[in-house]
Amino acid sequence: MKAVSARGLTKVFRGRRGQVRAVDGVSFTVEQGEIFGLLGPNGAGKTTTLRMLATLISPTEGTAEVMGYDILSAPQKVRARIGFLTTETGLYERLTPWETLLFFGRIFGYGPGEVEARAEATLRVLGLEGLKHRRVGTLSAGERQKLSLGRCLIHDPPVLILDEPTASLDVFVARTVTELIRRLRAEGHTILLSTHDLHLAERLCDRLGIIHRGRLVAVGSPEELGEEVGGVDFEEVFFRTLRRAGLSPMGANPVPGRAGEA
Amino acid sequence: MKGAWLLFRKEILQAVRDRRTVFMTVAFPLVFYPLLFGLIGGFVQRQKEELSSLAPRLVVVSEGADELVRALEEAPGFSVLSVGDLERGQGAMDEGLGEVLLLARREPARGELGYAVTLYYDAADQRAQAGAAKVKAFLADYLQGLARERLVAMGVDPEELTPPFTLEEVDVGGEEALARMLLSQLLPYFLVLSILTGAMGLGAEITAGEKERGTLATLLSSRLSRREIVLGKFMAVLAVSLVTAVLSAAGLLLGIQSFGVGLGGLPVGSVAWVLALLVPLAMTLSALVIIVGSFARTQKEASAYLLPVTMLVVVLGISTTFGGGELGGAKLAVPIAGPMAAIKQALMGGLTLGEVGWALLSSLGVAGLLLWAAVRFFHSEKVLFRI
Ligand SMILES: Nc1ncnc2c1ncn2[C@@H]1O[C@H](COP(=O)(O)OP(=O)(O)OP(=O)(O)O)[C@@H](O)[C@H]1O
Ligand SMILES: [Mg+2]
Repeated sequence: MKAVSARGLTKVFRGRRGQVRAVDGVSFTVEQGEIFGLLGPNGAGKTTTLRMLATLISPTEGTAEVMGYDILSAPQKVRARIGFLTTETGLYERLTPWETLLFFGRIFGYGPGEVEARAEATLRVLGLEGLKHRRVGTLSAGERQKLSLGRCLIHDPPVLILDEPTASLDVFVARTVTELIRRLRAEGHTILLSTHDLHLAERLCDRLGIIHRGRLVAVGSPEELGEEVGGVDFEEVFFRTLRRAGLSPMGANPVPGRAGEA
Repeated sequence: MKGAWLLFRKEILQAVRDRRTVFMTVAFPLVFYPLLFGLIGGFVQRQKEELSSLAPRLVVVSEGADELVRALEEAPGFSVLSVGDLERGQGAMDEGLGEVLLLARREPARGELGYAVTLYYDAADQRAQAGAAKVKAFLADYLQGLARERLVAMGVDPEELTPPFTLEEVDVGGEEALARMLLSQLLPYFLVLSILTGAMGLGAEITAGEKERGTLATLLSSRLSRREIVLGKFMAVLAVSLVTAVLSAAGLLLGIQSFGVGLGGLPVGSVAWVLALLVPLAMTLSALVIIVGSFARTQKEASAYLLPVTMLVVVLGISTTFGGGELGGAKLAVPIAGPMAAIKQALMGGLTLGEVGWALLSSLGVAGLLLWAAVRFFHSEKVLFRI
C-alpha cells in the first residue's frame, strides 16, 4: 500500500475575476517511510494540493488515497491517519504546550492516563520538557514550530503533511526541525512536505515532485532529476527541469526556451 | 459529541485567561453597573428631596389685589418679593430672584371677588414647575375659602350645599412598586446588551479569529466533525454570555438599591423566571454571533458585521421598554423581543408558564436554525478559505 497516491488532482477556484486553476491534474505516489517534497515557487499550488490531501478542501476533479482511504469517501478515516502542519503555526497563544498536547490528544480519542503519557513522550521527543507550563504566546518561533509538529504527532499518525515546515525559521532552528523530520522517518512515519527551498529539498527529501503553475513537471529523487537534465548544482537542475517542461519560472506560461536566468 | 465538550473546555480555559473577556464578563457588570446606577439613583433621590423641601420664591405684581398678596405672604412655604409693575417683575426674574412671576389683578367689574391671575414661569425648569404647582394649589384653596365665607354670610351652610362626596388617594404600591416598574423597564434592555457584549468578543475571536490566525485549519483537519466544532464553540459563547447576563443583573440590582429602595419585596418567583428567560435570549444571540463570526474573514470584520446587530437589539430594547404594543401570549415567540417582553412581565407579575414555553421553544428553534446554517458555513470551503 502506498502512503499517498494522488490521481489527477485538480482544483479550480472560481472568483469574481474569473477562474484560477491552482492545481491541474497532479498525480504522484508517496511510499511508506519516505520523505517526499513538493518543490515549487510561490503560487505553484503546493498549499492547495496539501489542503486537498488533508481533506480541508475537495478537489474539482481527481482524487487521492491516504493509507488506502479515499479523501472524498472516507475523510474522517484520512484525518485520523494524518498530522497536518499549516504554514501558520496553528497554536493557541493562551494555552501551555502541555495543555495544547492534551487537547489535541483528547480530540483524537486518548483517554485519561494515556493522553498524559503521549504528551510526555511527545515533549521529550521535541526537547520541550522545560517549557511544559509556559504560555505558547511567550515561546520563540522555533519552539512554536516544534510544538506545532508535536501537535501533529500526538496521535501518532502514519502520515505527516507539512506545509513549508522550515519557512520563517533561522538556519539553526531550521536544522533542528529537519533533523526531527529525519528522526520521524526513522521511526516509520511517512512525510509529505512542501517547500520552495531548493537546498532543503535536495538535502532532506528522498523524492521530489517539482510543481509549477499547478502542474507536476517532474518526479524523482534529487539525483534522478539531476541525471535527467544535467547541471552543476540543484538550482540549475530545477530551472532546467522547468524549461524542459516548456515553463518559465517567471512570466507568462508557457514560454519555451526563454527566461529562467533569475 | 464528546468532541464538542472537549472543544468547549478548551475555549473556556482560553477565555478565562483573556483579560478582555474577564473584564467584560465579570468586572464590568459588577463594578460599572452598580456605580452607574448608584450615581443615577443618588442624583434622582437628591433632586426629589430638593424639590419637595423647596420654598418657591415668588415675584409678585399686585394691581389692586393686595388682599390676595397678603394671604400669599402669610401662607407657609412661599417667599414673596413684591414689585411695582410687570416690567420690574420681569427684571427680577431675569436676575434669578424667583422661580415664578405672579401677576394678580383685581377686577371689580366681574364682581366683588373678581381676580385675574397670570403665572409666568419656565415650564422646562423643574423647580419653577414645582413652584407653580404649589401656587395653583394655594389659589384653589384660597378661592374655596372665600366662597365658603360668602355662603356663610348669605346664611347657607356650605356642608348642605355640597353633596356628601369624599375622594381619597392612597398610594398602595409605594416606592417598591415604583422601583419594580423601573427595573422591569431597564432590566430586559440591559440584560440583552450584556448578553451581546459577553457573546460578541469571545464569539468573534473563536470563529473569525481562529480563521484569521490559521488555527481553524488545525481543528478542521483533526477528528472533530464540523458539527462538533460549531456546537462546542456555541456552548462556550452561550456560557460566557449567560455569566455576563447574570452578573449584569446582579450589578443592576445592587445599583438600584441605592435609589433608596430595598428590593426585598421582589418575589423569588420573578427572579427565577428572569433567570430562566435569560437562556432563550442568550441562545438566540449566541447563535447569531456564531453565524456572523463563521461567515466573517477576520475578527475585525466580524465585529463590524455585529454592529448593526447590536443596533437592532438596541432598537428592539427601546421598543419593548417604551412601546405601547404589548407582547403577550403566543406573541412572546418573536425572537429576542419576545423573551425581553416576558422578562418585563415576570417582574411586573402575571407571566404564565405557557408564555415562557412560547419564548423558550421559539428561541430553541431559531438558535437551532442559525447553528445549522453555521455548520453549512463550516462545510463550505468558500467561506472557510476566503482570502
Ligand atoms: N481560496 C482561494 N481562492 C482563490 N484562489 C486561491 C485560493 N487559494 C489559493 N488560490 C490561488 O491558487 C494558486 C495556488 O496557491 P497556493 O497557495 O496553493 O500556492 P503555494 O504553492 O502554496 O504558494 P506559496 O509558496 O506562496 O505558499 C495561487 O494563484 C493562489 O492565488
Ligand atoms: Mg503555500
